[in-house]
Amino acid sequence: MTPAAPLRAEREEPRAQLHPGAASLALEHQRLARYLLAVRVTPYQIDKYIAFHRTRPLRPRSAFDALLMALARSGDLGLLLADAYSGTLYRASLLRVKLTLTLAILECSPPSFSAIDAPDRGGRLAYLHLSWAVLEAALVLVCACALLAPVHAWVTLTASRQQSDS
Amino acid sequence: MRDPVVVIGSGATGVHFAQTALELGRKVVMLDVGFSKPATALPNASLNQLKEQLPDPVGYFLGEEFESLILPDASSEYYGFPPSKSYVFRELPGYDVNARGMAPLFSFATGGLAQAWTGGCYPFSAAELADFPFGWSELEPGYSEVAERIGVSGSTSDALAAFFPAHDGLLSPIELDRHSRRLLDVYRAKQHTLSSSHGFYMGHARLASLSRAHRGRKACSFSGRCLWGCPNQALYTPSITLELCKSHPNFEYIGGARADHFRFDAGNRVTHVVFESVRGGESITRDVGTLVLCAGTLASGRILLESLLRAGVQTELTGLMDNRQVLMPFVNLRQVGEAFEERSYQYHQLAIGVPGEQPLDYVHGLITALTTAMIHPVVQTLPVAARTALALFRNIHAALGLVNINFADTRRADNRLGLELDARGRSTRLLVDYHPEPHEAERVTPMIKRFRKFLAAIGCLAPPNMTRWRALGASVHYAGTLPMCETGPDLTTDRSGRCRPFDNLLCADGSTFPALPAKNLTFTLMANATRIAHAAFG
Repeated sequence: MTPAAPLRAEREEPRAQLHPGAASLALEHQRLARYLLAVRVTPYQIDKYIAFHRTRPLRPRSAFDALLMALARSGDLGLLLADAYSGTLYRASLLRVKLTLTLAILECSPPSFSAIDAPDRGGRLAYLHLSWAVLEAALVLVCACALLAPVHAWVTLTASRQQSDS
Repeated sequence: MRDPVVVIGSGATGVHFAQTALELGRKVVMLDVGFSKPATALPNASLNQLKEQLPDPVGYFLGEEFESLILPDASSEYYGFPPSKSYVFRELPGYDVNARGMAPLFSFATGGLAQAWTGGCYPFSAAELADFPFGWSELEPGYSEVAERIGVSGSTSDALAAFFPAHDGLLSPIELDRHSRRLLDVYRAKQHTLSSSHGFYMGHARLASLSRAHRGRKACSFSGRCLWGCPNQALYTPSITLELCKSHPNFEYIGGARADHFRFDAGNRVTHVVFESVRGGESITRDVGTLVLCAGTLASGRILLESLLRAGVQTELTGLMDNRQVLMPFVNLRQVGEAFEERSYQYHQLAIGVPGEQPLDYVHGLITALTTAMIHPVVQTLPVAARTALALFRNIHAALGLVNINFADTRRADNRLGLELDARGRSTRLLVDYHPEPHEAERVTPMIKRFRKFLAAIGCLAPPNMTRWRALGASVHYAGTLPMCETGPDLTTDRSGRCRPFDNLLCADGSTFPALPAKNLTFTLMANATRIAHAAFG
């Protein structure tokens, strides 16, 4: 992927907001934007991300949903695995909501919207590039399933047992 | 028919009825709730320039409360409704509806529902008018007159000419974007084979968008802002005609007024219309010479039912119709890897006609190449990781398209409008009850497969799991509750739109349609309203 702006080694300090958890939301938005498009976000985009959470507080829907978010927050590899699993097998996840929100903000505002508009490769190379992207995604999904499917099943089973006991 | 002519509603039928009546020398009063359109932001900017220049682009595109953000949901549409058009569907407090089987949309905006239309102007053929009490020769002047007023672009010499009759006032087609041009070129290279083996015909769409300057309006500037509201009025909306009416000395516009019911005497002559101010809730009574219902099938039906109820008659209107629509996204394999075109027209530029054994078996397809629409609703539907979906999307953006497949409907007795009453017999809500025909799946499912095969034949892949049946009501093509017929019982209309048994009550909206072909009906609504006005006052 071609980043819209060069990444710098040092982190940019997020703008302070009056919303509780604003600083962590700012960092979260930066991470998700970097993950999705290899772009840096602007203070305006961070403000909009925080504003959404102010109007619609988001909570995990289940214990597994919370676990998926924790995995996503653990690092770049965790985010990759959590995204792969939720994209195919747990589509109503909190992580997907946040990723979709991040994408929507990026596509509506500068400078990131131009990164979305440009293809990576033109002509016939596009098919090779797409094939590689699909293969890479499939491998990640296999790893994600190996790690998360048993956990998902166990958490779901435990939750339903607790529900039937109560 | 006498003055004053009181027209209820400023939508597509109301404004063209009014304009014709004014041109024929009548005094016209228009009652309208009339939520108004916001000012156009940066009218000379392209879509990407808007993103760069607006102080709050996320607010503009997603809404102040993110109301146009489409979050992951299996049932969501492929496009979010833009905030700049939220006024079109702004709710009227106290206007309560109980809808079963469909999710109807109402508009109380100036210009009505067509302020958010996609501009398709497809005249009904003579065969499609078979159930109407008049034929093509009586409706053609209405089509020609409206086309001259609003500017309709399209072709009369391509494969679709057999399905879209010619009328006067047609401008040359809108310039096709690269994707649409490629689709049409591929089809034309194999046209004979495709038409004979698939029974599909493809050609230029007929659009209320200007391919050149017309009557003081500029041609389409390909800014890509169609979905958010055409910034230079190249795409016609009824508010344009409303402004023309307002400049006429014989026209009186009463905004902020919700028509509730009318009163009539023992001779079935409408004497007064009663409306409420939406600001203060007070009721106001106005004399009527001729009353014209143009509030749309559902709202006009409510006014009529309320009027009858107050006269001691509780009844319902049957035969409500709605077009079923199916959305079929596709990828044009020849376009993969192409760069996205910023200079674009975002609504459909091509159409597909699929004839059947009977005229109402005709299926109508609209092909839209995805250009400037929001992408997050599409990306999050792909069953892969979000990062993968975005990477895939960026490389197939210029290859994406959508076919909107429209099916005809017929009148059935169990589809109806009524009023729910409280313990004292006063109406509380409009009841809308709609059920698709029992064998709908047998008609729709095979056609979906045929569309998929046809798309494959022109090099496009349509993933089966991404085809979606839109919820009933989403088409906003409601019709049929006061059907036109040569002779008929009370609560039908004659060929001139007169609502039986009333002498001076006209209905000029979709209520009067006795059948609902698959084509977008707005152009025919406007033509028929013009025809009715000529019949009444000409």
